[in-house]
Amino acid sequence: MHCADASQLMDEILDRPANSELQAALLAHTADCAACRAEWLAIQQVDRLLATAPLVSPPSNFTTKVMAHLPRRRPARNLWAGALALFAGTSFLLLVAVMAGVGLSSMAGLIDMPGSGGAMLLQLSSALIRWAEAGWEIRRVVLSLIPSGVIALYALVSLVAIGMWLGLVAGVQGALQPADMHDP
Amino acid sequence: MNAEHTWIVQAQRGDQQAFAKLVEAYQGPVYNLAYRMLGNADDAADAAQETFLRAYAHLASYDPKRKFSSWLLTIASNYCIDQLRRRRINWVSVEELPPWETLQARTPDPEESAIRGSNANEIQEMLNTLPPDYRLAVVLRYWYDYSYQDIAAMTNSTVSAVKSRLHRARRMLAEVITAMPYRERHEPPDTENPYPQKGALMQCIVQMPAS
Repeated sequence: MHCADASQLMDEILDRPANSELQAALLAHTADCAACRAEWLAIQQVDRLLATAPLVSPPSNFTTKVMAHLPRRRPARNLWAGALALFAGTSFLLLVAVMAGVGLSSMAGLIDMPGSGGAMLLQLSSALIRWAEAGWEIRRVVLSLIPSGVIALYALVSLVAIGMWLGLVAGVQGALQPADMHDP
Repeated sequence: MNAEHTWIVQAQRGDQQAFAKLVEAYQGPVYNLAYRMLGNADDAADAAQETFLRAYAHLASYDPKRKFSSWLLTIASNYCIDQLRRRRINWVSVEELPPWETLQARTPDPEESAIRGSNANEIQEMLNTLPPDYRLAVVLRYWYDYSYQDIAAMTNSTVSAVKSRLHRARRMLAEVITAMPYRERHEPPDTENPYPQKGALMQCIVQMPAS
């Protein structure tokens, strides 16, 4: 065995101390090689010293310090999920606005006479009627282009999405408040 | 599902209390690695804190297939290596001085002396003479009992490179030890338990409470 091989063998023995074949091979070499014998003794000394090194303890208030430095916002979420929820939620609110206009359109007929204090009410109702008529026209066009089943499905998906959206908004609001951290 | 996995999932959802439990559980291993790499208590505390802040910032990218401890210690390792390289120490200069002069050049402060015995102090001073990459291989092998494969994965290296670093590191440390005037203080090992501390930190990690 060459000395270079013996040197490599020393590391293998340190990593696999139970391997008696490797140890026997090294001992056979070091018996005749003073340089490798000295190297082996020194390497064993290093190994023992490192293996018996003590552990050190972190400062007692370490966790509290770390938590005090945490950013107050949440870890990043998936952007696509946030964008989808925002789009669906906003479009759902628009849909609700249109439907509300349609509802008002059906009620507009109830306001037919200006009362004693009704001049302002009449103006307001006229504006609402014009808005409602526009909403009714949109509804008619939408229904002529898209089957009602698809619209119902969209409404259901939008309800779920708006829930996500509101949850996201609540999360952002919560994250903006000062962090309430305690050492566990 | 164990407690650690639960804490990770909750922390990924923004639960800071759950993240605090992860900090509590892993502060020892992370701090020990930072201490052995950087060599003093103040730098180790800063590095350990920065490790957890980085882990929190990148928690969404944590792959659950990987061991959380390995992921965390990889962050700590990278940070410590960066810090050591920024110190701009000329590692080659170690060879220009007698090893015992290098060892005695820095006097530990009282706080460090309080937490370390003379033997521990020698170990740390010896570690400080190693280049950062060698030192990291030694720390991960001896204090955490990681395999060559694990160390290679954590250091973005190869098994042969890790073997080479450990081989050279042991020889460098052997030169330091044989040159130390007080080397006779090292007692022969207890034959019943020659390596009482080996892998102690990993045992600490393994003993995580189950939910």
